[in-house]
Amino acid sequence: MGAVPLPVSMSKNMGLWSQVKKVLGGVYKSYTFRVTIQGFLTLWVVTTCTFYMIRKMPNNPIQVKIEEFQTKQNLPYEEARAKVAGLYDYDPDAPFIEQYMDYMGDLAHGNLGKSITTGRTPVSQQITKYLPWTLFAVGMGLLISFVMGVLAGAAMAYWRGSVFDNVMTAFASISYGIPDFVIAFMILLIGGIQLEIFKVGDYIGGVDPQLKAGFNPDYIQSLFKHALLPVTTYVLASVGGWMLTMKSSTISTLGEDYITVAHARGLSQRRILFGYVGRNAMLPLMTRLAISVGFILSGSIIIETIFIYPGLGKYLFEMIGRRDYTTIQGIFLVTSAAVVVSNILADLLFGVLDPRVRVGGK
Amino acid sequence: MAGQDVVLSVQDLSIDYLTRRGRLQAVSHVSFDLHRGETLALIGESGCGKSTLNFGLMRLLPKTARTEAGKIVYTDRQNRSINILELNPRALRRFRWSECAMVFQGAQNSLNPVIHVRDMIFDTARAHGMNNRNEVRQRALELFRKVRLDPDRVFNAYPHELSGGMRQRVLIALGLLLNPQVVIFDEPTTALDILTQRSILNVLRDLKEELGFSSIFISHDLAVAAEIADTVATMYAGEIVEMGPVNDIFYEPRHAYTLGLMEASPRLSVGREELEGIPGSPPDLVEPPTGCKFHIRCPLAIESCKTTPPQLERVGAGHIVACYKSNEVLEKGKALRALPATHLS
Amino acid sequence: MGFLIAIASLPGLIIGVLCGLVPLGMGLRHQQLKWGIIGLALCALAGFAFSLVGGLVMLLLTTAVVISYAYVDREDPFTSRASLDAVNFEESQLEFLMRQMAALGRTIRQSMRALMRNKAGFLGFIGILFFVGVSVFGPLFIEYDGITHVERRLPGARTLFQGPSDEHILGLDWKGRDILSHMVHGGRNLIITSLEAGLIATLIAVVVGAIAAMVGGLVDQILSAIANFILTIPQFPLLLVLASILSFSSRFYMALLFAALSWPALMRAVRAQVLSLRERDYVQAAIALDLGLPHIIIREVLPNLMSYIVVNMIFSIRSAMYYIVGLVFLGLVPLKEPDWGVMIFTGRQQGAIFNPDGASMILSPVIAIALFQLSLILFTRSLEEVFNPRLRSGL
Repeated sequence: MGAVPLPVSMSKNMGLWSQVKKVLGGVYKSYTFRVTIQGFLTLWVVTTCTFYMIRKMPNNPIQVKIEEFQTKQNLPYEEARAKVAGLYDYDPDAPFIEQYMDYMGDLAHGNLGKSITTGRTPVSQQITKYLPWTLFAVGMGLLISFVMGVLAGAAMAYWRGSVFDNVMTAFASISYGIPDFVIAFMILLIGGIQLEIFKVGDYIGGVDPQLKAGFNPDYIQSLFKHALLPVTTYVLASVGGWMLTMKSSTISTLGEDYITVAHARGLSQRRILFGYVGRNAMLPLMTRLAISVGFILSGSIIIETIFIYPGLGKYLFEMIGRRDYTTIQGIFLVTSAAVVVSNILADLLFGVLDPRVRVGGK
Repeated sequence: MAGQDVVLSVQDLSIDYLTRRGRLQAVSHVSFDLHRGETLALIGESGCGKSTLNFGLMRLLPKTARTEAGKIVYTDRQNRSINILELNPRALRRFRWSECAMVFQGAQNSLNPVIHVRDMIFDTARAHGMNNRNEVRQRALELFRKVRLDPDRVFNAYPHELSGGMRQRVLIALGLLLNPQVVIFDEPTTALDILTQRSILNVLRDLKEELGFSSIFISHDLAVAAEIADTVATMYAGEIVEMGPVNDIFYEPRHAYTLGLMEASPRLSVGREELEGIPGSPPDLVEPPTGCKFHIRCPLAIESCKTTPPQLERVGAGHIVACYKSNEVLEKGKALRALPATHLS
Repeated sequence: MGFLIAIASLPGLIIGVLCGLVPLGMGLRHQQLKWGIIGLALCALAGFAFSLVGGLVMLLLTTAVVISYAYVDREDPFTSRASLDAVNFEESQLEFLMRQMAALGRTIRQSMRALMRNKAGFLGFIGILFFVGVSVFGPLFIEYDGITHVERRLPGARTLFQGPSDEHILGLDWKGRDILSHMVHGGRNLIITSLEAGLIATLIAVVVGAIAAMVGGLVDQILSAIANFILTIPQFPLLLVLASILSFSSRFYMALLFAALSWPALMRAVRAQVLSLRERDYVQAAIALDLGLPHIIIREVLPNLMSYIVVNMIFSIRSAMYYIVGLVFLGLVPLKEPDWGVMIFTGRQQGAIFNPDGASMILSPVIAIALFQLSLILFTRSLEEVFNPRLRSGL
């Protein structure tokens, strides 16, 4: 009797196991699930790597502060050290693994920890304080340059070979070829200092500090005024790329058979341009746009530093200088997450816009 | 020459392309009349100008093309004559598809890949003032049934969900949507398998009978042309070198080039072992040869072929040919046909 | 990579002239005196600028061109109409060498013509030549001005900054030093480092991309995963962190770091291209013949990607320059004068932005960088024509 049930139960078990495997496999094959898992995995690896790397940077927050006290207030080392010890909530001697486990534990609860060097404010609070500036300036710049680039690029392709096309292509090449900080300096130095078109002091920074924050016209006007230079820089530096991409995409679309067929069908010029040429030529650009959106958050450290714009990029740069581990960590995590999410969105978006690559489904 | 029942009359039409090397004469001095209900097949090698001619008829040529001379006179249902080359853009847009439609190769990218078939139909209808979607839908479904497609499925499909043969039928249905008088078929059976070709041809023949449109049928496949055409025109290097009723052309070709084409295509009735190709390749159309453009490749060429181009001459009822040696060609063709079918297995 | 000594030197000139004797001799022997002399001049110039490396490379190139003019192709035995036994397949070592050199020379001539054909691209080429020329030969004429010049202070001026004047056409910086001398001496390191960074990044991308696509399977998955992972982290912030970890002792390490972070984008593109090429008949044929992976990649696949790779290498050089200047600008790399990036950094620190007299200290390097990058971008158009066999074959 003992010998018989064994194989049965085993085969039963194996049946169950293969069943489980089948279900799990099915779940894994589902697009959403797979993408989510991959995303989390990527973020975990990013966090671990950056966690290790930023602690590998020479000095630590305590040390940086001690040196600051030593040079700025001429304190002897011991005294400076004692002063810093009371200020910061960070033990540089704790074992690396312990720090890591603590951090990951917090992270699992959705807690990004507390900033080391800014009076124990939660990192999430710091991020939400600086993020809107970057989102506003870079987001606006991206939007404007995308719209302008697409329209101009399509027009260039449509009238290709004309004077308009040649002038715009030259402009686009310059815009594409010149780095953004060059444009920033040119605006500041030529427009502000040499030609004195505007007073530099009025335009740098985030907002006029005398104004009260709130939903009033003066404040909003000031916001836009101070965002003007970074946004202009961003637009000038990136519009050329969009123009050239859209131009080549439109030219190849114009050569497609279905455009000739659309003409033969007697469709109106407008309908062909928007419904057939424009839409199809935009497809490859939409993915790139979605990916660019992911990189909005990391902003542009250099541009924000030049214009003293209080965005996340400039803040990150400052925090790297102060070795504020938790804050750096938090910003890296959030920006990487944005990239991961926007990549997924780009995939999904492409599926929606182009029926040929629709994912999931059947 | 234009009689009562001529729908489309092409008179002395020449089309050049501006290229870096100079002017390329893609179509030179082509004239023909298309009668009501007639099917004219244009045959010839790739690059002989047959596609340019057809795109020229609908004024769909690229910007580098110049229509140098000639007239394209279209007679509408109210018997008004219109020169298509003089239409303003608005009128041209109306003329396209509602008077003269074109069926492109379905194997190519002729349907916008990101738009539903139904939207392409609605777009076309709206562009010509048919705004009643329900009516349009009924008409489209009926046409889909006529071309033997599953109407509802195809109507709501994307092009990439359809097979090559299905796409070709969609294009045919789309071409007939506005009930045009003239339909141009641009190699509609190329790149399809033999069974699909057959069924497409059957569909076309039935539709022609039912709807009575005139058509111009471009093909390099003689068998297909023989099956569907009433009149056949052979084009070589931008010129019509021979034109006549289908049986005359196939059984009594008078031009050396037409005969060469026959020799080069397989036929069951004449079971010859090897097909004869035409030696050489089509001439350079920027600097075309003097005299008859075919003389370099022609086995029967004589001195005058090299110097003076032969004019089109009447050799039979509706049969014209531009060849000095048309009688010799006729004899040669007959001799070849008389050869015993050696390998008829 | 230290072998690239981009400074004009007298020994270099001598080496160059010696190298130039070869094309000259060839020219004399084959009655192509004009090309022989041009070859001599080019060799001398290249040797002068880049020493032995420049001299030897130019020797090879110019000699090939001279030979290509003199050498008459002997009939290819495979296209000969004579019957197979009558064809002579023998070819001496020297003949073989000559044939190869003539082929190389013809390619160079075609490439030069393709280079000239695109106006914008040629403009870019001239621009690059200009910057390289200034960096290499400029120091011969303009001495580096490295010490503070208090004596140059103008009466009543609060700083040593000075706008452009006849004596100092680009003005003086915050220490009263001549900005022109800094411009001439400060570009070389930046250009070389960017070049190295771009080359290494491209090399990694091409090798990894080609291997991933050709080997496939697990290797492909792992390599792609690494690339995707690096692409997820915002590049510049990561570079900031890494830059402060690896306090750079040499610019070459900076180039390496840049390469390590920037290969994935190009690698993914190369991989995709190779995957599509792999399906082509001639590659399939090579696989069927079992010609070995290196042969297939190098002989069958890469030539078709050359145009793409070279253009992307230029882009890579360009973004390397952007990142390097950015790092210097933010003060994260040890500052070593003279350098364009350092000029921007110290200029900003010393208030050159708000001082109309000091603008030149920032504007000069900024404009130089802009023009150099623009030249690179324009140059890509010519490169496309040079390396795209389909565009080139018209000659």
